[in-house]
Amino acid sequence: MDLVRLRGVGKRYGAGPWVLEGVDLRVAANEVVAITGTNGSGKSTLLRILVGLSRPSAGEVLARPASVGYVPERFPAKERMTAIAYLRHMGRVRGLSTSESDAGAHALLDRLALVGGATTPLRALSKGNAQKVALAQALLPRPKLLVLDEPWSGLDVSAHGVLAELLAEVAGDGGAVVFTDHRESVVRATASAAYRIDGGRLGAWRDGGQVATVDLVAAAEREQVDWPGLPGVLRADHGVGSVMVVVEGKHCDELLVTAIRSGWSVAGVRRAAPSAGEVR
Amino acid sequence: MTALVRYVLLDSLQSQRYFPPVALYLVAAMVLTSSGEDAVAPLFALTAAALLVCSTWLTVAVHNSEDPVQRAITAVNAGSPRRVLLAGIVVALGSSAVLGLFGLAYPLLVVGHAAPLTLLAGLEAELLSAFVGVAIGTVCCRLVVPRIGYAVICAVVGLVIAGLSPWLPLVHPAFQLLVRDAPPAELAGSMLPLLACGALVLVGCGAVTEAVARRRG
Repeated sequence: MDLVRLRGVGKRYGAGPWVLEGVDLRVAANEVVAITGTNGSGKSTLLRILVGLSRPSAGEVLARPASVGYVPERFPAKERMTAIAYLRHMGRVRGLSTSESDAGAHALLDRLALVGGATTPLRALSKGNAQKVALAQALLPRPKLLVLDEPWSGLDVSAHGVLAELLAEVAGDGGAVVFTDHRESVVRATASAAYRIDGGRLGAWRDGGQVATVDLVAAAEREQVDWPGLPGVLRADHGVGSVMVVVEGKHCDELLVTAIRSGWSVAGVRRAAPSAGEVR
Repeated sequence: MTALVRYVLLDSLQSQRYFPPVALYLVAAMVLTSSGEDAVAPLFALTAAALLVCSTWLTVAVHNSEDPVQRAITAVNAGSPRRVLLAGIVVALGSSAVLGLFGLAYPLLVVGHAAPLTLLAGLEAELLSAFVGVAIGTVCCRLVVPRIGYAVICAVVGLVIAGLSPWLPLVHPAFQLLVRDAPPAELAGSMLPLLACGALVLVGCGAVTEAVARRRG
């Protein structure tokens, strides 16, 4: 089922040039979609249309869930309000009770390790910590659609892992995530589908980011297989009695058949490239 | 909506931008009513005129309190940008009404007595000023006029047109009725259609602001 559906969406400001043109996008539940593109390519405009802040000048938004979380690229916290008070208010605006809101906010801020604690005024937070508050408000309560603009760039490195976990939780809970980033490594590690905006048009990113990582475990009686020689295989990393093969998405099934016939057991298949920590 | 109004109110209070217009209003209301007048109706006209100016300023302060990016987050959480605008109007109108009550009570305290219908007319005049002030302040907020310098010019032009045009069925005829100290029954009765016009102007200005913000967004 599509949680989000845009058809022929275009955007221009006044009589200016088209910032976006003919964008068709469908995002299903459990999907994590990356949108890449250079600065000023229309990424942020597309996100503003996705969350309902901006109305398309052409085309239409056919589907959008009621519960949407939005994390902008920067969070300009100039307020005296404390982080916890701000989150409490935002939670209540989204229909939570005060106690639910407080509990959820504390849990999120603990996970994100907000420096200075929940009672720090927003204006006293550093850029990275303000971004954590921005992330927390979008997840309070957990939305059906989470939209993030360059979420990794503002956040401290220590919170990157938590961010990836949070995105996976939203997608795993039947929601959808759409984020922008310009780094290939991030897109490969996180997204289940990826698109590229160029000159206001949305196109596939490589093969739609369709790379699969296959973890294979050796059975007792196995044949030797020349993994890198198989069609579509980008890389094969051998471990002790196991192998991790990165393969183009369209050749994934073929690889699995070959592996099973040769006496290997499939331990896992992911529609994503391996994260940096797994590369041996 | 209640949670949103609470947030907008608290945010406006914490920004302290409300302070200059509120202080100006309180001082103006006290100075203007210390002329030794023994009829209360003309004093209501003076406090209502002060309220018109100050509620315009206060409204701009409320709408411009949040940074645009933060306002975008609030709008997504509230479900639409329109709701945030509406909450701002509710907060501005509520605060202006409270100031209006002061503008009603203080002259009463100075003069010491008033016919109930005169008091009603005074209340209607204060409300009318609040409606028109919030209306002008709303179309002069950042959503329509992004630069504060131009916003001040627009607000002054709006206030001059609304306050000094005898042909506009808004605050000017109301102030004149009060200054003339017309009979209480006539006062209270003549204010009602003006009050309705004021409410219409507020709805119209809110709709214009929403339309402009949507076009820009």
